[in-house]
Amino acid sequence: MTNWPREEGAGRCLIFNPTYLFASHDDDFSMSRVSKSFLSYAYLWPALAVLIALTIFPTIYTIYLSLSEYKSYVLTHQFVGAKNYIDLMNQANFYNSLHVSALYVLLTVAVSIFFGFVLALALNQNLRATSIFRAIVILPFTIAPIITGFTWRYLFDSNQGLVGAFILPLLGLNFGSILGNPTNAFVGIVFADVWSKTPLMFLIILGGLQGISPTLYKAAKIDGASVISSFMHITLPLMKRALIIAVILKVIDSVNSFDQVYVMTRGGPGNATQVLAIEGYLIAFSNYNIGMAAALGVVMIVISVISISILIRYYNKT
Amino acid sequence: MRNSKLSCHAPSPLLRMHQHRSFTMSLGLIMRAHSDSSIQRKAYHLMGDFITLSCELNLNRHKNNKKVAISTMAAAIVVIVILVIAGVAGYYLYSAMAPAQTTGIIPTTTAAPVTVNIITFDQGLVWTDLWNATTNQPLAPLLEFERRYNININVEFDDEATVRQKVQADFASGAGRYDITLADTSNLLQVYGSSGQLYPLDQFYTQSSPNYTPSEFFNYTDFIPKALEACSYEGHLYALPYFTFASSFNYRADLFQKYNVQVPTTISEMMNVTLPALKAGMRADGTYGNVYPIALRGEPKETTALDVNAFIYGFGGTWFQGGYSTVAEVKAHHALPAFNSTAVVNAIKTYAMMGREFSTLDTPSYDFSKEISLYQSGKAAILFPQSVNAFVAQKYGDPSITSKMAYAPTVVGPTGQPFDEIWSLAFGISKFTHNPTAAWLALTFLMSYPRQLYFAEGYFPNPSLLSVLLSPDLTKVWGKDTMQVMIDELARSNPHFIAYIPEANAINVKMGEVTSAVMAGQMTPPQAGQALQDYAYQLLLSDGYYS
Repeated sequence: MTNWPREEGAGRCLIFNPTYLFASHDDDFSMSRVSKSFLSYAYLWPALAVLIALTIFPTIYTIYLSLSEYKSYVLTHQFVGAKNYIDLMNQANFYNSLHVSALYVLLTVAVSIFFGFVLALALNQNLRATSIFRAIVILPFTIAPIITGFTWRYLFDSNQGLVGAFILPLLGLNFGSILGNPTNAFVGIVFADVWSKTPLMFLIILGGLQGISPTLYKAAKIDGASVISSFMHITLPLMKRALIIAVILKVIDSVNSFDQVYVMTRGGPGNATQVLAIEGYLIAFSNYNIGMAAALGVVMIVISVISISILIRYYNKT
Repeated sequence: MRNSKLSCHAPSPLLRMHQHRSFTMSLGLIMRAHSDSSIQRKAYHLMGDFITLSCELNLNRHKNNKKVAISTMAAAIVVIVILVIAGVAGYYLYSAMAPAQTTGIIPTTTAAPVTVNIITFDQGLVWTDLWNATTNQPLAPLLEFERRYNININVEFDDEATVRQKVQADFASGAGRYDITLADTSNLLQVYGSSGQLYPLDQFYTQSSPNYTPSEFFNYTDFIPKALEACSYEGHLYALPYFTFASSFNYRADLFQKYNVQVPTTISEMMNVTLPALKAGMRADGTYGNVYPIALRGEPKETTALDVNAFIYGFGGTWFQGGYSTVAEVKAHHALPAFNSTAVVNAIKTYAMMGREFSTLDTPSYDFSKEISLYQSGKAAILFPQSVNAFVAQKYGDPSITSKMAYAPTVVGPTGQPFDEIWSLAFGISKFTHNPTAAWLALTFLMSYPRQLYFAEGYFPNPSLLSVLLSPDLTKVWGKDTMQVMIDELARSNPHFIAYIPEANAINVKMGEVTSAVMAGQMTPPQAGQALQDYAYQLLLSDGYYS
């Protein structure tokens, strides 16, 4: 073969290649290898510094706070061990918030993914107006959650709200008060969240659907498969990974949901919609007990990590 | 063929020609001589050359692309840096060239002014004579003060919840960002006054004190005594009040006349006669559902608890057994909470019944803005019990409705005590201030007679100074009857209608929550009282009140 001159080092990965580092090479290159590896790791420090500052340090500090007595009206902050956790577990509201959050996560994840899937299936066509409809579907996601909360708070008002005072009575649906009734208020916050977050699920699922080759459907059709059969045996299996990603993102979002719910109901009426995040907010800024709020934050981290680990493990298996 | 100049540079036309030639030759040979293995081998070699050459070209192209990318990024960074420098330079140039204030005020000293920072909510309501309500630019009275005293006052406005969080963060960090902070009398005053994070103000106005600082704006005896009592904790004054309001019975005189209903004087009359009569009349003429007898707030927050506490006081209830209301008293007497008492349970029950039976079903989610909106839009005959909310409704509502609003003394309970609350928007000096003397002068200026008169005449007749409350100017604006109600209610209010303990706000939040729950049918009044009792006891036990 004709020998063309090659650029020195071409084809070698200089950034990070442990096998290259530990392979036997000429000794003449050992010092430059060490300096190159140091240089390689040095490029990681900016990203690491940001990670430490914004994620690792706050987490460690939160754990520290959760083990301290930290109240705004007490000047000393002594170490109290698990006292904050014990006090938290002794509060009836904690278990109520846990229950409300669990139900909230379950419903918002299931309903938003369901509707996201339906919309994605419907709009996974190359028709003329598909792009316009896709843009319309995405619109609610572009609105800030706090604005969404305010909007639905006034829409649901049974005296002056467009939905509560006009649309629902016109349709003959008399639920009474929406935000003033415990059950209705819970349904209301789930509805508002689904309305706001379904577009995100739609985008993720649509991306997954568009990754499925149409030839599979053609082949299935040739073999006599029905629409439902194609869906069950082609679409769903190939969509598993995208669906799991969607579930993971929505679970994270729902567990940490605060602003939209707080603006709509303040956790009320009573404590009917008091999710864990609102409970933590009240403990920190109404009860002035930062230590107990940090303990609740740690509990929320544990819950999130466990549930997401299970999902990621399932994702890796598929 | 070999070309030693082929390496990292852009592919030359000669190289491209080689590439094309190799490829076409190889293809042609392969196609023509299938059986001739030597020709085939040559063709394949040429194909190999072509592939290698292509790779080289791609590599060079990638390198060139990479170089172009680096160059572009470098150019972008240079442009950004230039823009930033230009922007900063332009800002300072503009500031230097900006015209001076046109008030003609000339500084009296060349020394650098001291800066005092204050944080509050209600932008567009408070101190609109000092800062423009929309642009936040300082106005003439403030500039005159700043010139005379060489003190610059910077105000930071935000919504109420954010203000409380910022104050909390400032105290927690000890940064001293705010010299003058919000210290309202049902919440922050108790929290920060009890922990010594606010300056006791008596050291500034007591002549024998080493920190005595005379101020032409301060007259202790002119403040409404109940307002000063509300701003005091354990005998020390920690804040000065800006506006102070008590309760009143606020109603629509035209609707009372229409349904032939009298203004009640007792809670029993209100619950058994007034409200049912209004409801019956509205049902009879088909307006019930569009109009309600009463507007209340019921959201699960401490703001609802402020009104519930007025009911507790009216029913003769107290927070602690024995009626104790300070930390020292409670600890000394080991006084347990009394939230499961008959009086407190009756108070919660009555308040919840008002909201459930005589108001909109949305009441358990209503905050003060929705309560005001309901009354202001003509959909409620009564707003109870806060007077200030009724004034807001009257000031910003439709004149055809607001002209019919009237004020009467609040009702009394079975023990003869009024259903009264008192609350002050008050401000204190942070212990972390860098200049307490300047902060004191600024604070007294902000609470002075002209400021309070401007507010009371323009917005609500709820000043904290007697000279303003009793002034003929205010009476001319609001009417003699209305002002007499305000004066009387302030006089008979009790600032200790809630306990003055640092846990007050936490207990109030819980009180709002259980009241909202009763109103929504989630729990019964006895269950609410017991839940509140258990919560308060656990909280106080945890805070070392009981051993």
